[in-house]
Amino acid sequence: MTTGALAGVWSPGLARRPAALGSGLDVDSTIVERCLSGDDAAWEELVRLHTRRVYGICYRFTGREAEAQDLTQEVFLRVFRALGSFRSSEGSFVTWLTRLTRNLLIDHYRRTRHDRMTDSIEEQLPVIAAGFRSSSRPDAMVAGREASELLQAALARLTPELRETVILRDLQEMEYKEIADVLAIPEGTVKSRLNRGRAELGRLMKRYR
Amino acid sequence: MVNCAQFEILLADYLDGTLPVSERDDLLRHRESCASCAELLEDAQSALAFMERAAEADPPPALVSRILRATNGGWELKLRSGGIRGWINRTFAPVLRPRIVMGALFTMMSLTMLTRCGGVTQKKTLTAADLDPVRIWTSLDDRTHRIYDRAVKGYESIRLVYEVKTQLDEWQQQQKEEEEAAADAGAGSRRLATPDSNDVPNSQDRK
Repeated sequence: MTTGALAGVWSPGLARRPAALGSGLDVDSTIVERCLSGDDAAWEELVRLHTRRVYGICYRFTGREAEAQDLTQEVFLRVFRALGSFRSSEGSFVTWLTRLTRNLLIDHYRRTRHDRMTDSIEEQLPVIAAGFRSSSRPDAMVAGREASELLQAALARLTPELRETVILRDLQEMEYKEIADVLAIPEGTVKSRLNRGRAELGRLMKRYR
Repeated sequence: MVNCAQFEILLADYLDGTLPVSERDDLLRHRESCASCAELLEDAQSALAFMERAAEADPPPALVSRILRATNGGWELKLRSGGIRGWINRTFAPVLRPRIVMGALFTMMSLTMLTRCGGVTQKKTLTAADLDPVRIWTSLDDRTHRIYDRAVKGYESIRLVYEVKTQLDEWQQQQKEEEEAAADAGAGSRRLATPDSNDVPNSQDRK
C-alpha cells in the first residue's frame, strides 16, 4: 500500500453532488400515508428503503457494527411509534428520519460516554493506518474496506458535532438546508463545522500516512 | 479580496464546485497569501478525496428482518388507521392478533376431530329444548358412556382377535409336532420290519 490514497487531492470540478433526495419525497410521503392507513406491506417497504441510510449514519457515528445494528433497530421502533407525527408539509421524510436518528445517536453518545472502553476504535487509528499503508490492496473492494476502516477510526477522533456534520454531508450527501434542519443550526454553522471536520480529518490522515 | 473568516465561509461552496467564478478567484488569491488557509484547504481536499475512496457501510441482510420482527411486521399500524376499517381493527384488535386467530383455528380443528372420532353427529337444527341443562347433562352422560363402551368393545375385540390368533398358532404348532412324531414312529417300525442284509441267509447255503 502506498501513501497515495491518503494524499488524494480533491478537485472542486469533481465535487460530489448531493443526492437528489427530493425525487424520493413523493415516494416516501405516499408510503408513509399507506402505513398510516393500515397497510403493513408499506411499513416493510419503508424499512427496506431506509435501513441502509440509517445504518450508515449509526455505523459511521459509533464505529461498531453490533451497536449500529441495535441503534438502527431502535430508530425504526421510534419511527414506528411516532409515524403519526410526521407532516410532509414540514419537510421531507428523510430529514425527519435523519433528525430522529441523530437525536437517538446523541442520546446514546451521552449515555455511553462514561462507559466507553479505553481500547475504542479511535485508539486503534495508528494500528489501522499502519495496516492500511502496508496492505498490498489486491482489488478495489479490499482497498475500499480498508479505507472505510481507517476513515471510521479517524471519524471517531472528531467531536460529535463535527462528526455528525461530516457524516450527513460527505457520507449521506444531504443538502446544507436539510442538515441545518436536522441539527437545528444555521446553514453557515453547518458549513463552518464541515470545514473544521474535514480539515481535522485531513490532518489525521496526514499524520498517519 | 477575502480575509480568513470569509475564506472559511466560502470554502464549503468552493469544494462543492458551486462558488461563482469571481469569488473563487478571490478565494484562490487569498490561499496564495495565507499559509494557514492554504493548509485548511489542502486538508479538507485530502479528507474529501479519502472519503470518496472509502467503501459504504452496508447493513447485514438480516437487519431488515430483525427490524420487521421487532415491529411485528407493522401489524399494529392497522390499529392506528382512521375510518371504519380502523375502528373495526381497533375493536377486534384483542382477538384478531395472528397468534390468537391461529390458536383458535387449531382448537376448533382439534375439537371437530375429537367429536367426529367420538361419533358425535351434528344436529341440523337447534331447538330451545336442546339447551335444557338436564337434557345436555343426560346427553353428555349418554355419549360418554357410549364412547367408553365403544372403546372397551374395541379393546376387547382386539384382545379376542389376539387370543384366537394365538390359539390357532398353538394348534397349528401342535399339529405339526404330532405329524412329525407320527412320521418318526412310522420310519422306526419300518426299520424293524425290514430284515438286515447281513442277516439274510444265503440261498445257496440253505440249499
